[in-house]
Amino acid sequence: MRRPFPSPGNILAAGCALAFACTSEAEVHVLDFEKTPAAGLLSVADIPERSGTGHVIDETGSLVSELLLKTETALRRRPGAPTYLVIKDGGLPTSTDAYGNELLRRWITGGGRLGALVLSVSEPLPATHVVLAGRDLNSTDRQRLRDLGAAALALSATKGDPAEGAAATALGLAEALATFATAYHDSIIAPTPTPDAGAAGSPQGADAAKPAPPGKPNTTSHWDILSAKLDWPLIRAVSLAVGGITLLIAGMLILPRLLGNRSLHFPEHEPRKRFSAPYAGGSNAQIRYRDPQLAPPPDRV
Amino acid sequence: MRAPPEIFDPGKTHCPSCNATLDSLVERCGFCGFTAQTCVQRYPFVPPPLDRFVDPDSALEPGERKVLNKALNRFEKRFPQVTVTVCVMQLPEGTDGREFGYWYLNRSLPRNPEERKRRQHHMLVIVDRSSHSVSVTVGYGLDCILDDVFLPRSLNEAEHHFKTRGYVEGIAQWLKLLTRNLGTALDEAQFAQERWERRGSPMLGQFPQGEALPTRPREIVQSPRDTEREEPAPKPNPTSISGRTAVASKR
Repeated sequence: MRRPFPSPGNILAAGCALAFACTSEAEVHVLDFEKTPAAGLLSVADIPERSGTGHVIDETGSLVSELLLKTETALRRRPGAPTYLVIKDGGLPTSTDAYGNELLRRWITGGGRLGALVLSVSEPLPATHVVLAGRDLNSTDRQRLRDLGAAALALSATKGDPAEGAAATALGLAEALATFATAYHDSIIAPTPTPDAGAAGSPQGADAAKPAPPGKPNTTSHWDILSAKLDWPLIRAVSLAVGGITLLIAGMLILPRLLGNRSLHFPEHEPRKRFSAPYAGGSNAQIRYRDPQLAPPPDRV
Repeated sequence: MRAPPEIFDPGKTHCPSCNATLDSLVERCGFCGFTAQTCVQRYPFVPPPLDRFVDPDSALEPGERKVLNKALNRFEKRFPQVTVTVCVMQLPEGTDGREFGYWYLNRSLPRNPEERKRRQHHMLVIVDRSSHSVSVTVGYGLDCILDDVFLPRSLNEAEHHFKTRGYVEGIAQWLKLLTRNLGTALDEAQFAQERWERRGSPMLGQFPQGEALPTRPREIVQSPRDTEREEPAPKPNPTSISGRTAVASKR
């Protein structure tokens, strides 16, 4: 029996399924603090206000108080690998990566080796994102964290309400992340201060946790966004190459002129004395000139 | 160690007066009978010192002097041994600028030992406004390169400037071209000198290297006034040219 050719409907359905799968996987973001910009460098506005050391921020107020308290209590038990839950009212002002990086950089204090953020948004479409952050993550660690986040996200599917789903995700993620942090205690480097994060000698997270100076706005310039997106090693390499070529060309142009301006000396030799003359023996030459302001000279020379 | 001039392949010499080609280093031109004595008798006066500009008639405008100064500075910076004098005057009818330059360069007394030392590398440019000619005479230190072949050729290269823009622009352009051409010539001369030094004994026998130059060159003729300023110097010996052969032919 001849196998039927897949119909357009089947192809569309398969495409949608694949797209959904891809979208679902893209909701887990793994950040490496060694590679992402420090807090304050990106122009991230709309930073949610934390109440003290709270781990749960519910801007929509959709979480019931019991669940909020339960989640808050559970998340506070994991200071080594803190997990935060943010239920935003609206969408994100920037990309999920940048926003998650900004929040985690600000909130993870010294000693936190891993951190996670469960981000529930309502715009443009209701979605839950999981952002996991660590330091010096190799590809295996990244993949494991990604799997961990995906598994935690699967917990939200069991809940009907997005807020409850996000809370379930956060709770599951906190447990899993704590286990992960314990298992990979030696392989994950503790946070270290970075020069661009603030004063030297203090942990990165501690600096990020400090409030911004009074005169300084909570956002950064567009240049900061651009600089964070630029590929500085490539720019450095290109600059070196262009500088080298420029120097080479300049050298090729200038060196002959420098050599052309060097002092030259006549050789020391015995004088060809003649006519008993002390200084000059009569080597000479003559040419006629024409005074441009006068008539042509007579042919006397 | 001074090298013999022959290793630099200098061109033949010429009589400063009649411009006849001479085959050897003579003291009397076999063609016109020119000697140092006849030259001194022809110009029986003491010339002024060789400054950068000798302009008794103030013929040089300030702008022209500036142009020449710039060209001379550049030339003397490139060739630190060389001192250039530009003499602008109206020579009497029938006076050849080359002969006058020869006399002037030898007859003008150095004012100090430093000037005397540099005199052999002096280059005298005579601008005769009567005959509209520019003559160049160089000292012994330069004529191994700037000989009677090199000098006219270099002047001819600037002929267009001399003919269309006058002697100021002509001299400036000539110095520019001379600077360019001398670079190559001096490199070749240096190579020749190194080659001569490497050869050693055969040439040493022919050209004794240990022979020191007279520390004080003789003047052609010393006037009593000059004798007061300078140490006494022997007058040229007329018999010194006997036994030498002067083969002359018209250029």
